[in-house]
Amino acid sequence: MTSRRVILHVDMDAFFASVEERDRPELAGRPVIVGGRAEARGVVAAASYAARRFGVHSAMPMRTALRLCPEAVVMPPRLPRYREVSARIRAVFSRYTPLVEPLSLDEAYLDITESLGLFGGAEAIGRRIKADIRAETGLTASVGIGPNKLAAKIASDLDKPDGFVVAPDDLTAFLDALPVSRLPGVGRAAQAKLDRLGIRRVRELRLAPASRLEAAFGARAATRLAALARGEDNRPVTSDREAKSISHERTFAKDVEDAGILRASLLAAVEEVGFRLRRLGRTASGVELKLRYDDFRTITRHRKLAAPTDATDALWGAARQLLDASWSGRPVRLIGMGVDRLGERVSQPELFAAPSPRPRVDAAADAVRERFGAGVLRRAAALQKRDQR
Amino acid sequence: MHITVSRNNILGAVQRCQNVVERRHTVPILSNILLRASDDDLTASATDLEVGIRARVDASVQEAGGTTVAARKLFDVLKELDADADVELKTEDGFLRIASGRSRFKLATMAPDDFPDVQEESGGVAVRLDGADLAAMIASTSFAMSTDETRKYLTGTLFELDGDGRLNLVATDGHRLALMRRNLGQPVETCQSIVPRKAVVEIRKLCEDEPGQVELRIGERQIGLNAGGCTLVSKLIDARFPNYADVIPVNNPELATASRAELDQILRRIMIVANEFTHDVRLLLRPGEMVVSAHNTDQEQAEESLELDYAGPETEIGFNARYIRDVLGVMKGDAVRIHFRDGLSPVLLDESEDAAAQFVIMPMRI
Repeated sequence: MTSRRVILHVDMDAFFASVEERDRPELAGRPVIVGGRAEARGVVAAASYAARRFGVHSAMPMRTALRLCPEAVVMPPRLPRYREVSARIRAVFSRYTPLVEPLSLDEAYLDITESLGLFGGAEAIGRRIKADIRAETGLTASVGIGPNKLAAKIASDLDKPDGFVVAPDDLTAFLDALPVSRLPGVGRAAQAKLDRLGIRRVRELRLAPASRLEAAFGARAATRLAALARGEDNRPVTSDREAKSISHERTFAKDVEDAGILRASLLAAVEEVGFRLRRLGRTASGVELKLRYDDFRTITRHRKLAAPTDATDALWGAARQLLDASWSGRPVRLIGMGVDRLGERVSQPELFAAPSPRPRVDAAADAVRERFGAGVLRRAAALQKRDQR
Repeated sequence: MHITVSRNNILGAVQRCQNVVERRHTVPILSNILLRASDDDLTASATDLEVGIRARVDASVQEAGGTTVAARKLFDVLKELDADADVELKTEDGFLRIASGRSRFKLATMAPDDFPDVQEESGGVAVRLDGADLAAMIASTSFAMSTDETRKYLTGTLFELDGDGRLNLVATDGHRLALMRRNLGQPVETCQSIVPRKAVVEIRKLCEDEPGQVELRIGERQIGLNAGGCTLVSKLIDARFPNYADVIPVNNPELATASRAELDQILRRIMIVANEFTHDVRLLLRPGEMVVSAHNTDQEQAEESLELDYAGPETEIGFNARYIRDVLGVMKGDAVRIHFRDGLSPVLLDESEDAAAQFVIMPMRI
């Protein structure tokens, strides 16, 4: 059942840095770096194209970035603001297809197969999305279109910034000429190994004998590399709407040992997940907590709820209990929560309790959030002092 | 200690104790059973510090005394021995020797002095009733107990003696409620206690095995049961039970009567496509007919109708189908009566005008 699909990958150009530049016109053209402070082992979250010319790239330690580009303007990340802009961009996507799979705030796959007829084809949709984003946020996006996620992602990356590349249906010719580093998942280590095998272009990878790849990478990775080289990728675009679970997690800049900060971070995650759950018109009957300790050991704990809910308070009650029951006291690197066992928006009212005003609190908070973005209105307990973040 | 006892007798006593023993307890000796021999009998007891049980059996005692031994292991050994033979138990240098026929076992023991006593609280209100009746009351209500530890007060069953000389058992998880009353035929002092789930389950087992009368004693902090040679005591859940009488609808104007078996079968079929977690189904009641339907997030649907005795206005009510099936499962008769007001108010289910059991289900909003 392989019907021809058309997938679009949208990747915002230097997203965080571009938002900062747009919000402060005086920064235009200067090297802008968004990220954590060098003293707090901060890393670069985003670098403007002016900064990239100095060799600065994301995930680089801030210390290194400032050595390369001492005149850079360093801005602390303003995630609530980026989320807000991201929400507007997602609103653009939803005009063209309901099948949107966000990968992060600045990147998403869209399956536009069923929308082609409505908007005059793939190219027209891609151009309109770029234009809409530009008109509504002042930002540029790079768009790649292809018969699968792999091709779309490679295409969006080929002509950044402000790129627009349509990969042909016959991917072999399109991919063959590219350096292997263009393939998602081929990082520096894999690239070095391939180089030792004399493989630099995708064509060489595609034609390489399986046995050679296996000897160097092991059977699993070799199979995956070969599939990448042939442009094979059957992964569907899955939107929240079809999701079996919704989750949100956060990695701390510094490992956290303070129960108060853990709770506040967990509540912030619950608010995010509750919002998405309600936007989908779903309820959840299960809650999961995820903790990653400083030694990278990760635990997940799950709880079934007595009744399905989409209320932030009810999700929070379960999540907090899981945290209280399972946190060992070790420093925590990452905290996250998710909901699962999703169902239609049904509710099981209580026999004894008077109707709760809480649905209206959630509805009001959601409305504020839709309009002004995340972080504008939240429960006081989810707030942390600036220096705790 | 040195005794000889019939294998079947001691197996029954040890099994009752074994039910109470928690598999993993932080206090090691609580994995053990306490055995005590004196005069002409052997007493086996076990506790998890919440629920304690003591079972007495006849024994021929050569030497009085006591010991404690791993409950599970003792039970497994006795279970495998010849059913008709006698068993000889003898303590010796920190071990318990078990002999029966040609079988010989030597099990490690712990000193009985450290074993927490199963202590009965004095006072309280005592009532006597048929074991089978009490077992039936628990069977009809215990399904509705909550498993939500955040609402501890709902994780047990309310045992209530009321001013009309009745014993009432009530269980609820906050979404549905089961109530069963039994006239004791004598005035009693009123009282209310929440009995934890584990004790409720054990009381039922003891009563089911007891052909005659049992004595139930409801105290301030403890409930006790004497059934045959067994005594069970349990701490109570120290909390207030919600005022259940408030949520039992007394004036629901509409009444529909359906075949219990037929409704159960239909729900079972319709649930196949209902959401697997919320089990939400719709009951559309209209004169002479009920249409049961469900759908899920994958757009799958199911619908089935049944004839029933109803003449009121068309009404649609959403339910967790599981809740209705639980009620139908504990009813005995052919018909179920559904008393309702509208699509959102609590619905009452019973079997007849004078039924001892009543069930309340809060509809879902769907």
